[in-house]
Amino acid sequence: MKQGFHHLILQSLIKPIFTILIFLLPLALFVGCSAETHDKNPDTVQVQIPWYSNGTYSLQNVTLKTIKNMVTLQGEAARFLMEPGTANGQLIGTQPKIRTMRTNDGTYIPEDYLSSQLLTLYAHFEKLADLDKELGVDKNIAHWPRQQTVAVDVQEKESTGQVGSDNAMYTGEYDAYLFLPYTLSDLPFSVNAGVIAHEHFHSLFFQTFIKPSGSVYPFSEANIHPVTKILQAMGLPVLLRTESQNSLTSVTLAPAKDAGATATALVRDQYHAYVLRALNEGLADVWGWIYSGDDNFVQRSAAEYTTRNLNYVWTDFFLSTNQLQKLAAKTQRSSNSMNFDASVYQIGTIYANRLWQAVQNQVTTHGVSENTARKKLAQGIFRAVGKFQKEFIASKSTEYLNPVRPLQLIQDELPELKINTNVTQ
Amino acid sequence: MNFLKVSSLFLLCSIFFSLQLVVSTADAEVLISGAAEERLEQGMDQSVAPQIYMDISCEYHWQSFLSGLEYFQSPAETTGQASLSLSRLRQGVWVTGAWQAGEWFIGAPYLRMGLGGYEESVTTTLLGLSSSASSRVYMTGFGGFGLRFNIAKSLFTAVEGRMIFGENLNPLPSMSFMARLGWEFNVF
Repeated sequence: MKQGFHHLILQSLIKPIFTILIFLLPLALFVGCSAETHDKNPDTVQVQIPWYSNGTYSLQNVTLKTIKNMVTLQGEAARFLMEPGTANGQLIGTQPKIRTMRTNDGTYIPEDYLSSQLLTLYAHFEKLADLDKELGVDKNIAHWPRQQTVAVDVQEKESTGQVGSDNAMYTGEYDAYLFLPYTLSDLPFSVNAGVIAHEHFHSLFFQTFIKPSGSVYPFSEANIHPVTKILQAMGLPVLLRTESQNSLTSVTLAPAKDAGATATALVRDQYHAYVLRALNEGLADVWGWIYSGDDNFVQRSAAEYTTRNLNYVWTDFFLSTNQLQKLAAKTQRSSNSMNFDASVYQIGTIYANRLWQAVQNQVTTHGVSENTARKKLAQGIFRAVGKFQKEFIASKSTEYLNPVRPLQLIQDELPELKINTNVTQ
Repeated sequence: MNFLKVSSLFLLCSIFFSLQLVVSTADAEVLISGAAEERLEQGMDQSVAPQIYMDISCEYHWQSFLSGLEYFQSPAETTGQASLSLSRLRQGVWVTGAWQAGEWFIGAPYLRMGLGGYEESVTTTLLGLSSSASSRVYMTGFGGFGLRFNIAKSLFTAVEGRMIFGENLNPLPSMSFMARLGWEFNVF
């Protein structure tokens, strides 16, 4: 009888109470654990990403100030597009959804390769915008601050039908950065601070030199990277000038009345294509070093480019106007654009090396900190590019600008630097 | 999982089973089962794809009611290339409660709910150096429907569909389907 009553009590009261307790206990436990996350500053977000310091890359906690959504990565600094296409002349794509986890101290940690790359890209574009503001670059570019458009997982179909990879570029056509899939075993371009800053400089050069120059700017080949073919391979229409249109435009610029004059005008355009694209590439390498402090950033992602190093000395002299004219004439006769590209990077490396060397000398002989010297150099470069653009626009149709002129202009801006502006005789 | 969390879970399990044994009656049974669970989750390629989880559960079965603990763990998902790779693992515990209808001709249908928490751990390898970190504990819960079949005297199998809610899940809710194999026995 007693046992029956006992069972009745158990069944009617104790079991439901215990069942409720059993559900409440883990709830209390996990709510308690969840409450361990503390936001020291709700306006900022801390992320753990690959970051360069003290000569190497390591995982570091980096603070982001402008990010609004940690899944779609919406924020003031960048706008990401996955697998981009075009509509109405605009680059379009889907928003990414990244995967992160949050530690007890509130740090976001990416959970996969893509998320790590995108978070790192966002962080660099935010820091690059800060650097632009610190240097005063923002005052010379309309619509500042700019939200950078970054297209990732760009599927470039090459003429062979294979999907392209292992490249990063800026296109003025769409004012966007394109990151192709990285398949090498080195540091991915999208986490390489120097490479990202290199591409960022191309956007600055486009805004301050190429765009204001309009149709006077020679050939689209001289435009940043040879993106026209890549854009077409991606199925994206080329909005601005095509190569053939540029050639025609450049012909009409010169007072050409006969075939000889036309050829001369084309050689002159080819000459300036060498100077301007080499300058763009060389200064972009310098900008990559200025931002990251890494003077060997290209090789970190593409080890085969053993000469794309700021301390690499190609020659003790610079090509003279006469030598470059000969090279331009030879290129104009040849249909091999690979030679043009190779020469452009070679000449660009000479620009970069001379500026790097000048800063090293200043640091060694005057005890100036390299960080300070790099930032002053950046300001000097930016002002000099603006002046060189005005000289280029004002130049006569028969005039050939001296390839060392940009270095002379930077020297004028920064008298304390001793830049080697020697030209071969 | 760190020491504090393991200790907390151990304490929770001890309380749970102590309470169950206190109120045990002769008609109560214990179920131990393992399950393969297919959860639909967003992957790195942005698409929603199945992830196979392993589940182990221990339940107390009394009349039409079941309550128990269930541990789940995802496979390690590794992405990246030679110089940068990330490996991610998710594991957690649910306290579950279920109501089971009587034996129908197709089996015994049941409704199950669960409440618990999970954590994620990521090991990032950059240029040969690895670093591991764990997340805070995220709240999670689910509601589901299943069908149980007795295949031998103490052996049973079950299929179950779940709708999972919780923090840091994508998509939300996440759907899951599982196949379970278990052993039911009377502790007295």
